[in-house]
Amino acid sequence: MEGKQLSVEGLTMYYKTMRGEVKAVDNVSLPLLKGETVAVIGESGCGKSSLAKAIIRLLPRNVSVYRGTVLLNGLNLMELSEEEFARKVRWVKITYVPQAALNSLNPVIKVGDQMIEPLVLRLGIAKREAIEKAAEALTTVGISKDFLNRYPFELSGGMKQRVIIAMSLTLRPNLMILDEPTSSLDVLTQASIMNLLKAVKRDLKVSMMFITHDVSLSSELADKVAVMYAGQIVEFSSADRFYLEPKHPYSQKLMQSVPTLRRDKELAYIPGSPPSLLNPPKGCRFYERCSLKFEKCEVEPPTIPVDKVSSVKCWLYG
Amino acid sequence: MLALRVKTVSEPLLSVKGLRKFFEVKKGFLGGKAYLKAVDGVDLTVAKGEAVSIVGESGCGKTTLGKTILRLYSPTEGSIKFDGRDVTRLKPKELKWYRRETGLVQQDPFGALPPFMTVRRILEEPLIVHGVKSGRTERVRRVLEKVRLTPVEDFAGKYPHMLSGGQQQRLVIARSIILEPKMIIADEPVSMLDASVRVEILQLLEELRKQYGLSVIYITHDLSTTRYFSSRVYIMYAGHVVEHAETKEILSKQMHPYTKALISVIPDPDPLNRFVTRSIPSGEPPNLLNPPKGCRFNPRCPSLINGVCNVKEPPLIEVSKGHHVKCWLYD
Repeated sequence: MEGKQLSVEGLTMYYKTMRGEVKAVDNVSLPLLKGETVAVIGESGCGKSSLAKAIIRLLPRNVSVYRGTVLLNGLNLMELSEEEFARKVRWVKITYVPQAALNSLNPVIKVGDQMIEPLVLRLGIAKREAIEKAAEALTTVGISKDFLNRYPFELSGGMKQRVIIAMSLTLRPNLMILDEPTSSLDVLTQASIMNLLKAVKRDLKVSMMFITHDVSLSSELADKVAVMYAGQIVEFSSADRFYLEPKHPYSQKLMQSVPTLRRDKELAYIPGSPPSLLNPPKGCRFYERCSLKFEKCEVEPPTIPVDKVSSVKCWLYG
Repeated sequence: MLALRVKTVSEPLLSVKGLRKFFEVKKGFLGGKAYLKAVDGVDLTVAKGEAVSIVGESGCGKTTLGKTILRLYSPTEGSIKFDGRDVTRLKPKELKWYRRETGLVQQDPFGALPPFMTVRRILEEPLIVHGVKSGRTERVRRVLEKVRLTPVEDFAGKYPHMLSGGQQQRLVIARSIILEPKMIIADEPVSMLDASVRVEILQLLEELRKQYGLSVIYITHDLSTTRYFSSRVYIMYAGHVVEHAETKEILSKQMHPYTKALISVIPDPDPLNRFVTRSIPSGEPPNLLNPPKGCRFNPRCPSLINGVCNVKEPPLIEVSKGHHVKCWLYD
C-alpha cells in the first residue's frame, strides 16, 4: 500500500472488571497516510485513550480481549512478541505522549538525564550519542540545548510539554500518538504548542494521532478526523469535509455543541448520556440519543463509505 | 401607562471599587516579607439579573477576585458594595446574611461535593446552617426541579459518585441557589465537562438567570463560551482588569494587545486552521510578587511604546461608551 503509514483493522480491546467486560475499543479500523495527522475526537469515556494504548500495546492488566491488526509500514505489529515490540516499535517507531505527561517529569532529575534514560537503558545507545540526540531534539522544539542541565522544576508548563514532545521525537519515530497534549495548559501556551506541532508535522513529516475532546482544537492539526462514540469509530472523514459538513448524527450534534467565537450560532447539547461500555446496546450505539433514528437502527450499522476517504457508521447512508 | 414610568438609574447589585487582595509570602529565611499582588485595584459592577464574565489565564487573579468578592478572603484594600450595603469589612456574624445572598459554583463538581452525603442531605446542609426549620423537604424538591434533576425521588437518595459529571454540576448549582441568593459566582463551572454537557450547564445557568433574576459572575479561561453566556466581559491580566466592554464589542472590536492575542489564538472549527501559524506574544505572565513597572503586559507587548508603557501604569480609559481599556495606545 503506497503511502500508508499505519493501518488499523478490526482492533478490539476489552477489559474485565468486577461488573463485567468493558468494551473499550470495539472493532476499530483506521488508515493513516505518511506525514498525515488524524484527530480522534469524542467525549470522555468513548475509548479514545484506550485506542491509543491498544496501538502502542500498553495494555491494562485486566485486559480480556485484544485482537485485530495493526500494520505499521506493512509490518503487522500484533504478530511481534512483547520483547520485539519493546525493542523495535515502542518509542522507536511509535511514540506515545499520554495525558498530562508534563507532570510525569521528575522535578529533581535533570532534563537531559531523563531524556536519555530510555535510550541508554532500554535501547542500549551509547551515552554520548544519546546526549547528542537529546540536544538535537530539544533544538527542534525551540529550547536551547543548555536546558539539558536544568531541572524540570525550573521550567514552566509550556516548556515541560516541549521537553516531553522533544523526548518523543528523539528517535525520529514514524508515528506520534498525542493524548490531549495541551489539556492542562493556558490558552496562549496551548497555541504555542499547537504551533510547534504544526512545525513538527510540516518539517519532520511525522505522522500523528491527535486525541482530544476539543473539536475546535482538533482542527488545528487534523488532516483526517475520526469520531469515536462508545468504543467505535462512527465517522472517518477528511478535515476539509468534516468541519464543514459532518455526516453522522452524533458528529452533527457534537459540532452543534461547540461554541464559536467569530460566528453566531444556535448552541445545542445532546440530551442523555453515552451508553455504558459494559453492556452497549445491540444496534447503533447512538440510538437512544439520536433524533433521526428509524427501525433499521436497532441493528448495528456497518461502516458505509461515502466517498474515497470518508465513511460513516450510520444507516442513513446505507 | 409604561411611558409615564420614570426610569430611575438604579444602583448596580454589586459594585466593587479599587479592590486589592495581597497575600503575604515569607521571603528567604530571615523572615523577610513580600506580597503577592493577586488582585491589584479592580473595579467591577454587576447589575441585577446580569451575567458578567471574568476571563483570564491561570494565575491572573480571577479566582482570587471571585473569592474576595464573596468575602471568602478578606480584601486588603478597596470596597465591595452589595445590594446597597458595604460588605467589605463585615464581621463573621453579619457575614451570614451575605452568605445567604450569594452562592459559589466550583470548578470540579466531584471535589466540591461531600462523597458520604446523599443529594438530599447535601441540599439540606445550607438550610440547616442558616436555620431554616420548616419546609426543608419542599425546598429541596423545588430546587432539584429547578436544575432538572428529575424525577426528584430518584435523585434525592443518591450519592455524588452515582451521578454523571453533568448531574454533579447540576447538584452543585442547586446547592448554590437553594437559599435563593441574588448572585452566584461560577468559577470555571464547565471546564471539566465535555462539550455537549458544557452547553447543557451553561444553558441551565442562563435559564436560572432569566427566570429568577439571578446575577451571575462567570469566571473562565474560555472566551468562546462568553459569547453565549454573558452580556459583558472583563479581561484580566496579572491582577489587573485590562479591558472590559460588552461581550459583542470585546469579540469584534477588542483593543488591548493582550485581549487581541487571546482572541486571535482561539480556533473555531475550520479545516484551514491546520495551515495557519498563530502569532503569540513571547514570554510568560509576570511573577506577581514583583510585577513589571508600568503596564504589566509591557515585556510581552508587540505594540510597546518604549519610555511610556514600561514606566507608568496606564489608567483604565473609556474609549467608547462602556468600553474601557487599560492601555497607553488609546490615551
